[in-house]
Amino acid sequence: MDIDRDALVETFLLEAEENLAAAEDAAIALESSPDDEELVQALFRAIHTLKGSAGALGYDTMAAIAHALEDLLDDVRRGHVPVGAGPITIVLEAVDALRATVEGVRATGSDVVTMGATPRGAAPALAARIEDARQQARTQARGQGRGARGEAAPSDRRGSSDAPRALRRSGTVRVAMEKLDEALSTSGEITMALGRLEAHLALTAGGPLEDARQDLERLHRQLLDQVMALRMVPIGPMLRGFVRTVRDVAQIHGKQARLVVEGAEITVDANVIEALREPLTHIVRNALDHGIERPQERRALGKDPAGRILARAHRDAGALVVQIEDDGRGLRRDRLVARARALGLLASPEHASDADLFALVFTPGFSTAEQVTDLSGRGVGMDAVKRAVEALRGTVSLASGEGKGTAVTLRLPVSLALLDGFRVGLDDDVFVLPREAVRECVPLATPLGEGGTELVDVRGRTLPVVRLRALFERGRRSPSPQRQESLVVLDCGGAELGLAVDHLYGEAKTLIAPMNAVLRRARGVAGCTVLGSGRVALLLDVAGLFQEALRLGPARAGA
Amino acid sequence: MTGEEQLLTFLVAGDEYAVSVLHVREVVACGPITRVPSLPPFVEGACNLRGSVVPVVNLAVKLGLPPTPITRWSCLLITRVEVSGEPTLLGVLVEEARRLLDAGAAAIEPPPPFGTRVHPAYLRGFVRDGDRLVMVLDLARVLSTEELLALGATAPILPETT
Repeated sequence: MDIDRDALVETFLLEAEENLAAAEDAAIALESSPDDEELVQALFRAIHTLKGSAGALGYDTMAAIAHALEDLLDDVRRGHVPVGAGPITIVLEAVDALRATVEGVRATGSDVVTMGATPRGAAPALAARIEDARQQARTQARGQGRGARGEAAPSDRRGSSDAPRALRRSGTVRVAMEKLDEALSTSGEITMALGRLEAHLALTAGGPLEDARQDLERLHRQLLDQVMALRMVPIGPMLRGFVRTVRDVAQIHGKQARLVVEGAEITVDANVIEALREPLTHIVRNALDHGIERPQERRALGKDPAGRILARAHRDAGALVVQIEDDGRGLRRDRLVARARALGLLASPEHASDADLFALVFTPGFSTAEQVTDLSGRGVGMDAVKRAVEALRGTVSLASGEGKGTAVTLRLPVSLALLDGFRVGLDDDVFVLPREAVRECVPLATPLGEGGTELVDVRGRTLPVVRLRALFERGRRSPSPQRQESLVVLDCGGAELGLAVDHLYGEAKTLIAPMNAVLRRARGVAGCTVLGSGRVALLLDVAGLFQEALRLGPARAGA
Repeated sequence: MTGEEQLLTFLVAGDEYAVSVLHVREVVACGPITRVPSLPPFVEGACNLRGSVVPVVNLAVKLGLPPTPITRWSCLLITRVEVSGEPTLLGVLVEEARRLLDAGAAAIEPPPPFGTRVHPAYLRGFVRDGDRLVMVLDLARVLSTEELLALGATAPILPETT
C-alpha cells in the first residue's frame, strides 16, 4: 500500500514539475503575445491537471493555490480578465509557490512549506491574493468595457477524472538517471570481462571461439552506443529556464531584456546539462547586470530599449558549444587595462591584445564592476565559471566589442561518461588524454634533461615540454632509464604543450569512472577509467598540466 | 559475550599487526596499482575493485615504517572511511594477511607509552598470542579524515627542482 502510494507520489511530483514548467513557459510567452488563446489554454490545462492530482493525493495547500490560480485563468480564458503584466506576475509568483510545495513534498512529504520564493506570506494568503487580483482585474475590465475574448468559449473543465494518470505519453518511459549510470557501469564491466576473454583466447589460435568473441565485442560496442544515446537529452528546457531568470531579474533592476534560445534541439548527456546550469546562470546574470544598459541609455545609443541575450547551442567537431551573447555595452578596454595594472597582471597592459585582456576576466579577484550588486556580486566570479567548466573537461572564452556586446563561449564534451581518448604509456601505466586535445605525435630526437619543464623545438615551433615521468618524481631523483620517448603535442585553448611519454597506444573510446573523494584531490588528473586488462588508467588534466608548465617553464628553461 | 571481538592479523614491515574485522569489508589479492601524481607518499596509487577505482594506502608508509613492496602475497584490506561526509572505499596495502584471532576486549592490553615501532596514537593496544605480541591498530585514527583531506590540497603537480 505504502509502496503504491510512494510510486504514485513520485509520478505526481514528476508530472507536477512538468506542468509547472509548461505553465511558466506559457505565462512568459503570453507576455509578448497576449492574444494567443492557445497559450492561455495551455496554461489553464497545466494548472487544472496539477490541481486535480494534488487534490486526489490530499495535498491541500497545493490544491488551494492551484484552485485560486485556476479561477483567475478561467476568467482570462473567458475574456473577463485581460492578460497584462498584473495577472502574469501573480501567475508566475503562484508557479514559484507551487514549485516550493512540490519541493516540500519531495523533501519532507508535506506540501505545507514556508515559501522562500514568496516572502509575502504563506499559501492561504497567496490564494487570497490571487483571488483579490482576479476580482480587481475583473472590476477594472468591466469598467473599461472589455470582454474581448468573448463569453462563448466553451468550458472544458474536465472533472477530476483526469487526475493522476501515469505514463500518459505512449511509447515514452521516464528513467531515473542512476539506472542509466548503472547500465553504463555494467557495460564497463563487460568491457573488462571481454578483455580477459581476449587475453585467454590469444593463447589458443583463432577458431570459432575467437569469432564469437569478436561478435560479442562488436555487439557490446553497439550496446554501449545505445546506452549513451539514452542519456542524451535536449538542452532546450535548461536554456529556456533562463528566459524566466532574465525576465524577473531585468524587471527588478529596471531593465528590459529578453532571452532567445537557439539550438534547443541539440542533445547532450543529462549529467552535462545539470553541471552546466550553475555556470550558465552566472554568465546570464552577468550579461544582464554588467552588459545590458538601462532602456533610456539604450535608446540614446540608438539601440532597441529591450536588450537581447542569445543562448545558443550547437555541435562542433564532436564537442558541445554553448554561447551566451548579449547586445549590451561590452567590456571597456580602459577599465580592463586599469584593473590589470592595479593587480599587476600584465607587463604592459595598454599594449596587450584584446584576447589577453579578455582572458583576465577569468582571473580570481578580477572584476571591473564598479559596484557590487546583488546580481553578480556574490563572490563567484568568472573564475568560478572557468573552474566549473574545466572540471567538465571544457574550456571557456570571451569576446567583446565595446558598445556592441559580449559573448561568452563554453566548449564541452558531449558526455562526461564516454570520452574519445588517446592513450599513452609510462612504464607499465597507461594514461588517457582527450583525443580532441592531441594535435600530433613526434619522436623526441634528443633526450630531455631531468627537470620538470623545458623548451623544445618542434618543426620550428618552440613548445614548453612536460615529462610525464616528472609527475611521479616528487622528492626523488631516480635516474630515469634511457629509452626512446615520444612527444605528444597538446592543444590547450590555442596554446601548445608537449608531453613526453614512453609509449603511444593510440585512440580508444574510454568510459570514465566516477572519481573517489580521495582521488579527486589528485592534481593533474581529470578522471579515471578501468582498462580491458583490469588496470586503472588516469585521464590527464591537460589544462592543469599546461598551467604547471607555465608556472615552472620560463624560469626552468636550461636549468 | 559482548567483550568477544575478532581481529584480523597481517604483516607490515615484517611485524604482525591486527585490526578489528569490523573495519574490514573484505580482503583481496593486490592487483596492479596505478600511480597517481601529487598525492602524499602513503598513497600508493589506485586499483580496480570489481570495476570501481579505489585508492590504495601503503600502510607501512602511513605508519612511518619501511614501505611495503608489492609481492605475490600482498593483500588489500578494503575499508570504508568518510571523506567530507562522503563514504569512500580505501584499499590498505599489507605484506600478507595472516589469520583471525578471537580476543575479548579485556585481552587487549593498553599500548606501552614508548618502545613501539608505531606511534602510540595509532595503537589500541596489543594482544598476546602464545608468546607473541600482536599490535592492535586503531584503523580509524590511522586513516583519519583530516590527513586524507589534506591530500594534494597544495601539492604542485610537478616537483620544484631541489
